[in-house]
Amino acid sequence: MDENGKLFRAMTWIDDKYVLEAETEKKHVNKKKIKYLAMAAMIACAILIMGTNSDVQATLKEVFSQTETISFTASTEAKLRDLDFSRLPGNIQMKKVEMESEDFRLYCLSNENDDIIWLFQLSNYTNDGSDQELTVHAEGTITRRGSEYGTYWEIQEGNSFSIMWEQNGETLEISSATSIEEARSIYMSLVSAAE
Amino acid sequence: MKHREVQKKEIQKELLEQQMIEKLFARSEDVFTDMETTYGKLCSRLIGRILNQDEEDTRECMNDVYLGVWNTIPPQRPQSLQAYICKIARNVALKKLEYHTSQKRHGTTVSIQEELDACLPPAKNEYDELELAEIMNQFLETLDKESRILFVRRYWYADSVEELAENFGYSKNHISVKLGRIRKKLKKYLEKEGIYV
Repeated sequence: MDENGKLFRAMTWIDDKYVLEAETEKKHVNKKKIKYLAMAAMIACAILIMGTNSDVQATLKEVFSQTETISFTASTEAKLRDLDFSRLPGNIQMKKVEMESEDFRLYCLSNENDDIIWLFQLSNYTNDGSDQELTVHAEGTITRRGSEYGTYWEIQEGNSFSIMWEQNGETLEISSATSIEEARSIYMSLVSAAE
Repeated sequence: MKHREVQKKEIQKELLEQQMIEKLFARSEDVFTDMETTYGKLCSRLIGRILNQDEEDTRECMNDVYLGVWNTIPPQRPQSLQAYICKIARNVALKKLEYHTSQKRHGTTVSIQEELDACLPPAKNEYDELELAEIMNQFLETLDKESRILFVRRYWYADSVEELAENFGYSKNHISVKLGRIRKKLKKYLEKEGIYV
């Protein structure tokens, strides 16, 4: 045998448990969401906010407090919960909701001055209900763009391992290794930076 | 309720495997029908992917697979007949592929192999396949479950990126990026294990 494909051939002899796991779970992955429903999966959610105007921070904090509750509430839903925006002040309007995936949603809000606030809602769930750590699964680069909605950061899937953005001269980042506590602290630094 | 059904199926599967192994030990040729019914589809899909869906080659390989099982059990008594038969199927298909590769055929699987070869530093010939497999076991243990399944589906079962995207619910681009990251990790891991000049 030549050296080409040696590692691929060597893979044949890996432990049976990995061979069986990949075959069994491959079938489960197709029904992953259903499986998680059945297992009353734990959902952890985080909202990360890019605020451009301090007068909306109180409202956004209120929204965040909803997600804090969600974070530690056992749920039968393995997808993002709909957040309640009914208590937004009159000057704040929901302009757009973008469903990136079942794990990731973007909300676009604006105030009376047409300042734009983007909310990133991210979710992760574990299958045994014991792990309350949030691992942020969003991946991609964020490109700064201008549009009729103002300035925002466009997320492009797959180009990078983390989300980064700048606000008030600070660069903030969340990656797949970010825990719920870190995500909270990033959020709080965003809020306090805007205040 | 669902969990119980899954458990019941697993027990039934285990019993069926035991029966097949007993038939092999008793040299009962009925076992060929049992193997075809239980694992025929799984193995021919695996072989088909490696040989890029060449039906004639797949059929030939399947005969070799059953013969391989017949000739090795006994004396072997595998813990999992499914894994055992799949490993034989993979090995038979790779031998066939090796023959075809020398004639410049079957490009897709060759490119999957090349993806992994890029992780292997020079002086790799010091390691035989079983040693490399052991190192791969250790590496797989370091991965999170999703990455591990993704990696094994791609580099063991030779799933296409399209199939992976469909089964995992991600875009093709996302799958490619994820695989690229895992390969990068593997390369680092192999280097850390001293598999280089």
